[in-house]
Amino acid sequence: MEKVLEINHLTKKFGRLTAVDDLSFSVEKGNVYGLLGPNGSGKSTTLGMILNVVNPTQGNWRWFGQEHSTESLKKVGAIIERPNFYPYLSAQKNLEIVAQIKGADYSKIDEKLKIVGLSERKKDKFATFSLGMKQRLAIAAAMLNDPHVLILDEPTNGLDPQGIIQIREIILTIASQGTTIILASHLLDEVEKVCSHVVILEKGKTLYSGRVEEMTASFGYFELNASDPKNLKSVLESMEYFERISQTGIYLKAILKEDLSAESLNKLLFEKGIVLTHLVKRKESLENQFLELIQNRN
Amino acid sequence: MLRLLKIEWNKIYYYKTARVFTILYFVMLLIMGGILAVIKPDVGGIKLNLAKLGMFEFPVIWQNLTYLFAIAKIFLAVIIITNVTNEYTNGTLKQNLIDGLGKNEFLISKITTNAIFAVFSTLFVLVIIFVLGQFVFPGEGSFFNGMEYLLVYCLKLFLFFSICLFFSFFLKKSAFALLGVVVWWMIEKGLGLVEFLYKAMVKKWDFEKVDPNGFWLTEYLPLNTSANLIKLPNFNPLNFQKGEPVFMLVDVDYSYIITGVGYLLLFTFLSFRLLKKRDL
Repeated sequence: MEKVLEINHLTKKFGRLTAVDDLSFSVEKGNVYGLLGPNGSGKSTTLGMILNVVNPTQGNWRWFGQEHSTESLKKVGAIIERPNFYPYLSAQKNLEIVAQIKGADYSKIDEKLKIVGLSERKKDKFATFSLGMKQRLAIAAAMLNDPHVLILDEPTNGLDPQGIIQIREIILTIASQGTTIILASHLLDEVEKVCSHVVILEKGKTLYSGRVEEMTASFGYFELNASDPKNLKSVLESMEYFERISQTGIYLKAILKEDLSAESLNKLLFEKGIVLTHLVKRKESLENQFLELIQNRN
Repeated sequence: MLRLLKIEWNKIYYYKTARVFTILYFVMLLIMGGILAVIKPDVGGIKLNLAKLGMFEFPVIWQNLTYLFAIAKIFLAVIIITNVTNEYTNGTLKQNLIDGLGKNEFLISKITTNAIFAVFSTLFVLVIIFVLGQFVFPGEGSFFNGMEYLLVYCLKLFLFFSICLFFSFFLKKSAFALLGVVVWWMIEKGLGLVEFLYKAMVKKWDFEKVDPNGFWLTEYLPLNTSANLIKLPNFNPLNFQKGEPVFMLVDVDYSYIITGVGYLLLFTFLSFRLLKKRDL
């Protein structure tokens, strides 16, 4: 696979605080990457470094297999934290500035404004836009030069539900056209809905990097109950299929460490004289896996 | 370069407020020229006819008018500070860099803007002086005599704008950048006082013995250098009765030109360092 971005041992220290700690990962062409982590985990700092606005303490990165330069950034479209434009200029003029910087043709401006649904408002000042419109204009600006990679940092932050849906639809459309996307978010749900790969950060360290569905190599877990829960627990503990057994609400939660079907478990337990009143096999949601990853660390 | 200028043009010209004030500045220069030609200031009950005193004659007109017009540079300085600090407050500096503008390119675009403002002011002043000195108040002096003040004026503006540029990068907020320049000015004056006290101390506290026209190190601080590039014209009203010229051209002090160019480079370098080293 062609590597769009390769990050090697990237470190950023702010005084005594290490915001990004020896981070390495790479982004392959055509995938949608999620950069997931709680607030303050170093997502924006990482993006800031690879986008030339934060100076790294150590480490390096390569865009499209080349040493970092402003030229490579012209092939990247990025929106960081909030849409940054000249409030006193019209949408059109703002995009003209972006086009001049990126060396894009002015004809792209109308095309991209149409995609994000802002053609009607192109003569209006940026200051008069709603947050949703500002965010859409930012996407138009990032898309202006038909970038090889699109970087979005918390793109739906602060938007109303309708705005969130609009932005997500735009992202999915862009992704379907084969553009590589890096999406930073603290919203798991968002990453789950949009991304194929995920890099999980916590306190500047990588917890996990890989495909979303392989995130914990998890075999799922059972939710069970029986008339005699204590007995059930001791029997489950004597079996070798489980990594951990815990009480969650009225059910016992047994996390699998190898594959086992609900049918086989039911049969095994019945043979041991236990009649279940409840049995459900579940896969962890990304949210739980994420929390689990963080908890395992702490 | 042309690309950078186009970007700056969009940022300033299409910003209505900046555009209006920039145009006002140049109109103001013209008006100042016009007013100077007609006003007769009242000094101690006597109406002074500036023209009759020879204010607009070559070569002194060069020094007189560049000295006065240089005061108006504050106007452009505010526009420059606002233009640069806005890039911080709107987050557009960050976005420009993300979009692929180099930090050096960003700085060059701002320096070029400063240079253009300085050069255009100089051209305006040249035209005003030409018209006043050559046609409105024609005298015996040669047009080219004293013209070096025009170049000094251009340097003075460019230097002052570079100092403002540095404070804009340093403090990031327009109000603080302006205050920063004022505070820096007060620091220079404070250091001047320290130097005065030191000189007085050396003279065993006889203040009379301190020579105000001697060598003062603090006169070579950045803002003082800018001020000293064009000094207050020598003016002696008593000479009028004797039939001698009231205004006398002061020769350009090249030591200030050399320090001025030095500071211009220094502040540009410091702006670049700040931009390069600081995280956004």
